[in-house]
Amino acid sequence: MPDQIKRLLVAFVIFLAIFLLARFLLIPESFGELGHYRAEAIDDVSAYPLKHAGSEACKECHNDVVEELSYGFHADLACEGCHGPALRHAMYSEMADPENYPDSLKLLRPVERETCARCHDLNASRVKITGDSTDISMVHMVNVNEHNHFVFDETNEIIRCVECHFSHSP
Amino acid sequence: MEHHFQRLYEVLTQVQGYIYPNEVELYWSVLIVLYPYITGLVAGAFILASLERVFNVKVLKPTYHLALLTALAFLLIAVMPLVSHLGKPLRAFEIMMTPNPTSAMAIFGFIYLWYLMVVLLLEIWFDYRRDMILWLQTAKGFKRFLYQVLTLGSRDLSPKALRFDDKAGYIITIIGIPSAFLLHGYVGFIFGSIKANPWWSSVLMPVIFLFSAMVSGIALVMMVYMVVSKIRKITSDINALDTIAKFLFYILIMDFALEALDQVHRIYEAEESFDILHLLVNGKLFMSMFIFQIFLGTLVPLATLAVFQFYKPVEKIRRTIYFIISVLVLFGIFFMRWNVVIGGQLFSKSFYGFTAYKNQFIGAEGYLMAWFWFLVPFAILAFLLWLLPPWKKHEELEAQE
Amino acid sequence: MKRNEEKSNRRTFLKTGVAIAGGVVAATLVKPFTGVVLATEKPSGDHPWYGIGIDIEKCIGCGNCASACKMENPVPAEPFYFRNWVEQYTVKNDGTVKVESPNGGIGGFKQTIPDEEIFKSFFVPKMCNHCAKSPCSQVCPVGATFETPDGVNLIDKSYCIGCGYCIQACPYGCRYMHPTEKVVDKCTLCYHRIKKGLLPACFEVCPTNARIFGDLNDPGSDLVLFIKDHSCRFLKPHLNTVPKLYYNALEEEVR
Repeated sequence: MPDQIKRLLVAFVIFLAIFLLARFLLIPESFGELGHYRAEAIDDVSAYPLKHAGSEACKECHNDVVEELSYGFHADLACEGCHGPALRHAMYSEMADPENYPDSLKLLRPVERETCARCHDLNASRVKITGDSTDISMVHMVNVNEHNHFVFDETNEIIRCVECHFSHSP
Repeated sequence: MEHHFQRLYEVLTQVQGYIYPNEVELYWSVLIVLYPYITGLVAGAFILASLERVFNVKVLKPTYHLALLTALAFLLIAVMPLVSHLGKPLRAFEIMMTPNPTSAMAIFGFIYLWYLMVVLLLEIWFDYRRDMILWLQTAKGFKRFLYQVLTLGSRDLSPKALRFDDKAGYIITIIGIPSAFLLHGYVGFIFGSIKANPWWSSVLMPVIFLFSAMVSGIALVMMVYMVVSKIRKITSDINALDTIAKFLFYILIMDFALEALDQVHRIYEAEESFDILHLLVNGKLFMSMFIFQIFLGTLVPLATLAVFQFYKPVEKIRRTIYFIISVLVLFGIFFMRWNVVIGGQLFSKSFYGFTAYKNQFIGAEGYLMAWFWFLVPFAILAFLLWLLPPWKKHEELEAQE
Repeated sequence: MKRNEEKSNRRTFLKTGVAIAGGVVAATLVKPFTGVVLATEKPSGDHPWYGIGIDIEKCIGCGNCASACKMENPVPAEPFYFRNWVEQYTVKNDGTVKVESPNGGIGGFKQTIPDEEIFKSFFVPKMCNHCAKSPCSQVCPVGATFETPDGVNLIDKSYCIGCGYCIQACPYGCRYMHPTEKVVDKCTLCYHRIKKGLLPACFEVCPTNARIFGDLNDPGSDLVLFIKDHSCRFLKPHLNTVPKLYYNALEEEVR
């Protein structure tokens, strides 16, 4: 074998050895078990913290609200859709002092007009026209800018929807 | 971070029509434009060099070693724009450790390594081995140390060894030509295989990338040869320049024909994406496509070189024009990459609107960074020319029986 | 004599080198072989194969889904990063289509076009389609995004290098580069919830039951019954990504 080839071969073998060593050290353990990915990643994702509790959890404590809801159209709505994620609230409220209830556990009480407008504002996209031209919609709609747009003189605030419509059973 | 969001809010104000909410930010920036540009220069410079070695185009001899060293200088830097663009650059080694066999981008590590080690480095080693051994006898200090390391201890100057060097170089160049095609063709495939993006998804994409790479590489060697000759205060060989220009002309015709075919086909079929792409090309890409890439970068050089086939002006004027043409071509091919990469992200995949590309001068992905990665290879080339000067190579010995 | 010494030194060096290399090669072969799994077939057996159904006729564009997602998952609050969002389509009488998604639909929508000019309009919630032949996992260079055996497309954030190739490859625009983590992020179908038997957050808070979650392998699941009873379509079927997000009443204008 020519001298040049011998020398190059040595250099190449050294390089290959380093490469194989790197492979041995750097490829994660669980890589390739289920496919071309690190199988442990599935467990990593499964361990993310939960934030929403689900309405069933709310109903365990708030029986009065469950009763109110049963009278109206909002009976099947998810509580957290308006009140925000409630897992921590559900888990720790029992231990909390009702007199000194910590702010960090309090949930939203969205009583502003904008909250109701999200679903109930007049919007053509919410109207589904059936074959016989009967307009149907999933929700009752009003023009939020006009419906009972009473403004209080003193504060210049607009009256909120909840003054007339009971939010849990409208 | 605030600054980053501020820029995105500004982009939001420039959105036209409707884009998917995640499409506001252009993720593949000017650095991703630079990478195909640089590998294209490498592939093109190497192919020009191979013309002399394998196809015996003797008149190109003055540029042979220069082309090889230019290719090496650019290849050493080629990976840097990519790595500096990654969200997690320190994890870049993962591409070499667990390359996904279904991903075109994963091949990068191996093609790059193969080309760098087996083709370029070996080729240059066999070509310069004898000279390094001879230079070793008179060199001092750092240079001497480098020669000692680079020769890998080899001291054999027998005619048999020299003949072997020559043969090995020849074979490597032959292997190198398809390797150069692969080095740049796969970049075209990275874009051409994305079915989600109709501006990219095309069978012609790897071929177009390859031919524009050859064009840019040839123009680069032409320009570098003229500049280096000027610095060394010698006249560049006009015959070599004429031949390079001739090859540039032929490949430029092929490149133009392929690009034209791609567009004509797109316009004729006018399928779903045509409307938004039509707006893209005539709107946001008008300047960079029609003026920079097509007119300045392709038509002007093409017309000039076509005229030269029939009427050649005097040497002095020819040299100046060759220099201008090579700069124009380099400029135009950069914008070809720009139009592909940036253009492909400017329109929404909903085909309902456009976003905007806002970049700054400073910043990890700013224009300054792009200029930096483009200019560093020239510094490396200067170093290589100091270490392995083609004009100081020893005369070839007569072949001894 | 010196020459022979040199030769034998070289020989020993080579032998040792090859021995080391051979040992390392052997060791790497003992580790699990990286197979290639392309999820083209719906896996049978007692593996769940999760899918999603969205009923466009029922969506009222309240945006609860989009905001619940950002509260359940660590998605940046800025309006450039969404794991799911809602679009409002308004087809006017003159045939032009206006699509909008202000802040992804969080906070609801306004209809600015007067009723007389509207031919049709509707809301389309969008999210990751968890494709069975996802182009995103096809193009990932390192194997950082993948489909789990139960059909959910996930990202391995500790392995992603942030190259952004998957973002380019996704035809539906549901991936984004996280601005601080510098890796790619997208909808996980709230994998951390569904593995505990809960619904994904966006399905939890939908007021009109426009979103149906279920197991495509279970013939009695809500989702399978939904698909059976409605005329469902995918987005961009010609790209053959085999999405698992079934839309009812998907109109031609929707992309």
